[in-house]
Amino acid sequence: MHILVVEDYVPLRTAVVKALREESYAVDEVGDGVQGLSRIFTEDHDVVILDLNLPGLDGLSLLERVRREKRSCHVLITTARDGVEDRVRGLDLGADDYLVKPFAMAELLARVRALVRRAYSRKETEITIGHVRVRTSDHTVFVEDEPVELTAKEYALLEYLMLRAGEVVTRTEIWEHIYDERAEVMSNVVDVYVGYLRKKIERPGRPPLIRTRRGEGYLLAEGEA
Amino acid sequence: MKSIRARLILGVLLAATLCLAASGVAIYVNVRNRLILDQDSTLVAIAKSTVPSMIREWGGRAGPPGPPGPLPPDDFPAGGRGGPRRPLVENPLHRMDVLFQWRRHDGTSIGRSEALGEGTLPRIGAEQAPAPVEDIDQSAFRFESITLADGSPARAAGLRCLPAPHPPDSRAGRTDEPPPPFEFTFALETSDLWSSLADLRWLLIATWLVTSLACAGILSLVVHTSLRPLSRLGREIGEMDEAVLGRRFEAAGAPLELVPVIEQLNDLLARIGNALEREQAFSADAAHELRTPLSGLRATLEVSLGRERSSEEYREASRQCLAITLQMQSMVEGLLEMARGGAGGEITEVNLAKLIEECWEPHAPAAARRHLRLELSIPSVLRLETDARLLRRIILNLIDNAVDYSDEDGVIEIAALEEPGALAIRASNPAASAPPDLPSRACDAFWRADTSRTDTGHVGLGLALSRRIAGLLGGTLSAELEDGRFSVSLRLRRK
Repeated sequence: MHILVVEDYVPLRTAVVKALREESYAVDEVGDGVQGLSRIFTEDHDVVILDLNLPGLDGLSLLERVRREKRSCHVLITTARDGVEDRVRGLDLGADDYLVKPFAMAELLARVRALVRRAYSRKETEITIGHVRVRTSDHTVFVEDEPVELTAKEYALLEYLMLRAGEVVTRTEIWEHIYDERAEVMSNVVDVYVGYLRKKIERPGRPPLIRTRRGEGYLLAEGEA
Repeated sequence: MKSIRARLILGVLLAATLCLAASGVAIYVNVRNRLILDQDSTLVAIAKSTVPSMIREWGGRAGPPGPPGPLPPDDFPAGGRGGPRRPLVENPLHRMDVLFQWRRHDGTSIGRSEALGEGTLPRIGAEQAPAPVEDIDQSAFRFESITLADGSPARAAGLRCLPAPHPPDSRAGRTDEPPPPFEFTFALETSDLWSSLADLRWLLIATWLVTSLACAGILSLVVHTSLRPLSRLGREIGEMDEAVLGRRFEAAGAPLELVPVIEQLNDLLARIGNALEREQAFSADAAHELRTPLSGLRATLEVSLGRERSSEEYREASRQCLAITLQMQSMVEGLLEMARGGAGGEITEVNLAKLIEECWEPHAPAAARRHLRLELSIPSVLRLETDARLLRRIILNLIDNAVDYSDEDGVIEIAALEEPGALAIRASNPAASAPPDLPSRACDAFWRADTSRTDTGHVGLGLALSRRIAGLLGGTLSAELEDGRFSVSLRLRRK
């Protein structure tokens, strides 16, 4: 999933970005509201972690403009101010969740996971498609009820495809949601990782879960191809 | 005596009783004098009506003519030898209370009233000039209060009176020498008068006492009732606490004298409320500001401890935590200084150029790294009387900000400018990309120009504290942004 962190306080931003990347998220980071607005409008993010007290453009003004432009990213606002009025204002302006600093990193990650599920209209934390089961809470994957080790990118790809199961997902969409600003653009990196993933989850005698739609992208679904 | 109520009651009561007493005394004295005057007038009237007739009837026999010879004192045989004694004088007023005695000019008694008995009346006015009998008026009399032989008080009037001169009589050998004067003393007993005056005195005393007591009672009631609004106000003030500082006391309907007090009280409550709000806002700001580095500390440690990491990763996390801790320490120290209000010390003569050079010295290496140069425009002879410790605090902060936030490869200027009644110390640095709102926000607590930089240790309290210290020094601190240069000016009043 593609996360944008908008936080001006460097130590906090560094720690949050690190924690999210270690959770296999593709994470972009900016330090002020103006850059944050620009990134939201030009890229597709599943979740935006937004600090309210930003230089340039404050968080609430940024949020207001994002919702006015009908950008559908889910926003989790973070701030040191814990007044009820601040929370109400943020939620009324279109935030999906609110976290008061200092927060437990585990709580931040859990809320991000919840927002990701919401982004894809999924309430369950375990997704089972065919013989593959993914537990999003702890990033564990079971193939025919046997745990399978995946790399971070492989897991991110599998989770994205599982969340969009039954839909054709283009390579561009996969790129935007699995890779962040640090990744070098390679034309076939998506295909390469799909190949890695297939090797780990496909089983002989079972129909392939990940199907290629030529000229379109990929489709993850159970049943006959 | 600290009670207004007691002071009011005792003061008014004392004044009232003194006035009443004075009035009573005045009334008594006036009445007494009037009564005595009446007595004197009566004596004069008696004398005027009797003395001429007495002299006419008996005066010839009272003294020469004839060869001088002893005359029985105060005895006038009237009606011939061996005749019965008659009352010496017929009382023309038919008043038996009138006492009188008649004397020759040498003091020998000629006659006295029967009521006197064996007693005598004193000689009164013996030294004064005699009045002619045909022209007796009040001014010829002398009056005295006397005590009779029986101890009774009396009022006496003395008169020296010249009889009419004798017509010349060559046969008797009389000559034209003027006749000698006679002395008359009239007296009226005044026991009743003094008795009445005594009654009046007691009546006045009783009236004074009763009136004083009544005054005391009424005064206590009136004062108690009048001071009730004050007591109520005191109770309401006592019920005030921080939770109800928004309340205001009602001035409408209060006594006129309390209205200015209530208005000033309300004004004071508004000022206290504002000060408390500012303090609460500042505390809230401080707490929120501390939450940010705390969140960084917590996040860094939780991520670091979330899984197995290399020693280099742990070291980097520890370095980051240390930097954050130092930042928090700086913030806490700044907060403490703000709370203390920069408590000052003694006033001494300060060499400004020398002070600024001393403050620049520890920043010189950092300035050199950023290719910054200092230009000082301060006369070496410039001295000012101020608190050196507090002034040093401000100068250090100005230099610290200039070195850290100035554009690189620039000149930091510090100049002293004489202004009418003040000295302005201005520190400026190049700031081409400074936001336009920098001057208005620079002195706000916790505001920082670059919030992303954590290596400088700036927590946004320096200029806010400097502004407060400037106030303690009797000056002001202001910021300007002009022509790409940001400057902060400290203005100190000079005598």
